[in-house]
Amino acid sequence: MRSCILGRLILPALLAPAILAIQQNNDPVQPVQFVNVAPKNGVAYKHENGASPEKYMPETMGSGALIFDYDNDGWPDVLFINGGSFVDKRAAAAARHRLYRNTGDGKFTDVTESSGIVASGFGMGACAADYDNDGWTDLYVTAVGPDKLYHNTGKGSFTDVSTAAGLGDELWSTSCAFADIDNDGDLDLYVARYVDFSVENNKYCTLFEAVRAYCHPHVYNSVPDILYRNNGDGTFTDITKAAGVNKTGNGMGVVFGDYDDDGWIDIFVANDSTPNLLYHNKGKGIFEEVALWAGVSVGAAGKPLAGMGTDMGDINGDGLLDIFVTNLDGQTHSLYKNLGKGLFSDVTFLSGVGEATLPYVGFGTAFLDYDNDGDLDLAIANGDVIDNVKRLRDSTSYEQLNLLLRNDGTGKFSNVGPASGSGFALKKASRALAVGDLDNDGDLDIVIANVGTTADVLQNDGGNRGNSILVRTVGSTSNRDGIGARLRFSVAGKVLRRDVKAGSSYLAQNDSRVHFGMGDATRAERLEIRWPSGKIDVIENVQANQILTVKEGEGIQRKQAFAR
Amino acid sequence: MDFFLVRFDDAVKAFTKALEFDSSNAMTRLLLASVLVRRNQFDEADAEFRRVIATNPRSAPAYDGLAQVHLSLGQYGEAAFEAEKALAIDPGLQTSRYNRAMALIRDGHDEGHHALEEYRQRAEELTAAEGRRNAIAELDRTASGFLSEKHPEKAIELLREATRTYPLSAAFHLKLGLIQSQLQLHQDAAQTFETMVQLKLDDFLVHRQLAREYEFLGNREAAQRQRVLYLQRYDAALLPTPNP
Repeated sequence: MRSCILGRLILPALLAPAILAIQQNNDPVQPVQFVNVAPKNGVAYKHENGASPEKYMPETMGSGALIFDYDNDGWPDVLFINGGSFVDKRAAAAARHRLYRNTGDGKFTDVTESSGIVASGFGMGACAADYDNDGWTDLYVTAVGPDKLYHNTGKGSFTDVSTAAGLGDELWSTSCAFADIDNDGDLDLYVARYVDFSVENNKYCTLFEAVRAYCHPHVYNSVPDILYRNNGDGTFTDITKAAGVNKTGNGMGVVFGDYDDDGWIDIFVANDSTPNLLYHNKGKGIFEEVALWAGVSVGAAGKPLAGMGTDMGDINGDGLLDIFVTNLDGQTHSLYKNLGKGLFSDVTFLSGVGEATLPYVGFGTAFLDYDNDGDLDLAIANGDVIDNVKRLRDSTSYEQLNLLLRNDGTGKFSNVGPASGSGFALKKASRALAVGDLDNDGDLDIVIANVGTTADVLQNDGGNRGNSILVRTVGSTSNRDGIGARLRFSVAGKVLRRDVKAGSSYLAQNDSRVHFGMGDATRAERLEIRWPSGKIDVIENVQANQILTVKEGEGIQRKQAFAR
Repeated sequence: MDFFLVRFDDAVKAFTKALEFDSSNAMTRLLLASVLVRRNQFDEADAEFRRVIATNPRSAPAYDGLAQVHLSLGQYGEAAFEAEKALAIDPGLQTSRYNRAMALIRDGHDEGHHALEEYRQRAEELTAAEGRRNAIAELDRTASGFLSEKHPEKAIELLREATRTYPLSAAFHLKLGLIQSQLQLHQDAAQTFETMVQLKLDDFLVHRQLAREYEFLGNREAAQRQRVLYLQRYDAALLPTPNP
């Protein structure tokens, strides 16, 4: 064993100068910079959390943000989910969700008034997808109070169809995600739910004697999540029990991904202080919970962690989906490497993620290739849960820095936030984090929602010094958005795997177009799309720096150069 | 402290310095080894864990640490072996139970399923016990909160409910009786303390309180009886406990 360990230490040391030289050649002179352009570009949204002396728990937990193209103009729009107030009716009524239309010049216009989206309950998160395959992206909004399903009319507005669709759960729902669990061509819906909080059963929790604070979730009971099957006629059926996804937990984040590549999409749920859940799809939408066996249920010490946000992505180019979960400070966030055969290894400290995240309370997160070098980095939104935490510990604060962890290509991460511009110097109590190319310039921007204050739109400056490509998938036999499609992109001797998703992070959803960083390469040898239907499309000799729209079975439908 | 501030280098220096003063301090050496594991300095961590074992062959945490080192390096057979040693010394070490199960599963052993089930059962027991402790602590905090906000009637209502849910929790009965006494609800207080006696939750303090309550209620005979019991129990409490 000893010689093996020595080998592991000495070999990298010998190779280090060579690796450094390669990195220096590839790295741009100036690191990629992120700048908050929210106020400048018309995003004036401010979250209302209704902070009260009663310390109602939802006040510190929200809220959501998502990036989706609601008007099909090719420019990703942004929706913020607002909270409300349990004590001030006027503040609650004024807490509108805000829909910002991307006008195509990097600016946003508030179109909330004409959108038909209204506040209902204390808003939490949202996910968006075309559930009725009519070509327009619809919307599901979660809340403490009734959830809402909004049907996109195709005319720039939405209609509340919750009741008609058989939806509208009233317990505390958090994150949600759409995917086709039975590969029948329409999208099903998973809704994570947290605890049985209500104003009537609000608990009295303290930091210490007489100093009231937001409660730990263990003072409430967990509530089971819900899985809805799309009946294909505009209605949904609760199949939680029948599908085998009825384990309880304090559900916070959810992401779909086919981690074992068997063609059936699986579900990972990040739970706060209860074991995480990994539902393996045995086929046709029947699941088996395997998180403990797989090694993603708890932390390395065998204890449940405070899971908040989550994402799946291939961190080391082996073609397998790895899992990332944000947790509390002192716990570290968790990175689980997919070993194949349905097993994962906790590589939190091996990967550098542990050291980088130990002092932070994490929420929203996303795998993203921010510097277009072809590997997946990590963006993480942080912020404590307890607004008066400073009275308990001087070493931390409610408002915390967000993190940008750069992947060296082998699955080793280092914090580059401090060198990544003013956007990563902001300290707020951040929650939702969503990623997308808002200005269609070929690099990924970041939207962050913060508790009780303004949101941030972090524009990526310099990421597109490397080449890239965006792929929009359009299903025909498969669901129209191509959610769940697995893309394999062969470029410069590497094969990059990315999946089409509708919902991940915490209370958030990314731009559903798939982004591939290409570094210096101007062409990729091959793009393979494996659709949920099982069909495979292959496109060869793909040129960089464009947005491709690919339709299932028909190939490229549209090519659009990046806006630069 | 340095560890939680992610000053791992400083933590390593501090532990190393401490060991210069007292090289036999196993706890410090274990902490040093744990930081080294988190720094991915597995060779050094391995050596420190083995040093602990050399001086204290029954150190379960040291074997557990070795199991973690092997698990991190993908050496599953060795990891399971060391975790088993840790469990043989301290069967309550849940981390080792988990590491052993993970190592066996990844190594392809059928026994991994059994190991995982053992871990799961123990985890459920621990979760249930922790849940009960948390619930009791939470009720206690909430009652204190009501008192500090000058709502003793709410505190009494909550504590009555708590004594019904957790009838064998002496703390709830005692707190309820004391609040009732402070509010001059002496009849209620006496009843609360009598319930403690019936449930055999009485120590000398309970009888002292009962004596006071009966005094307030004008029942001198009962008060005298409780005072005698208080003194008897108090004397008994002062006697040295016989060795098992």
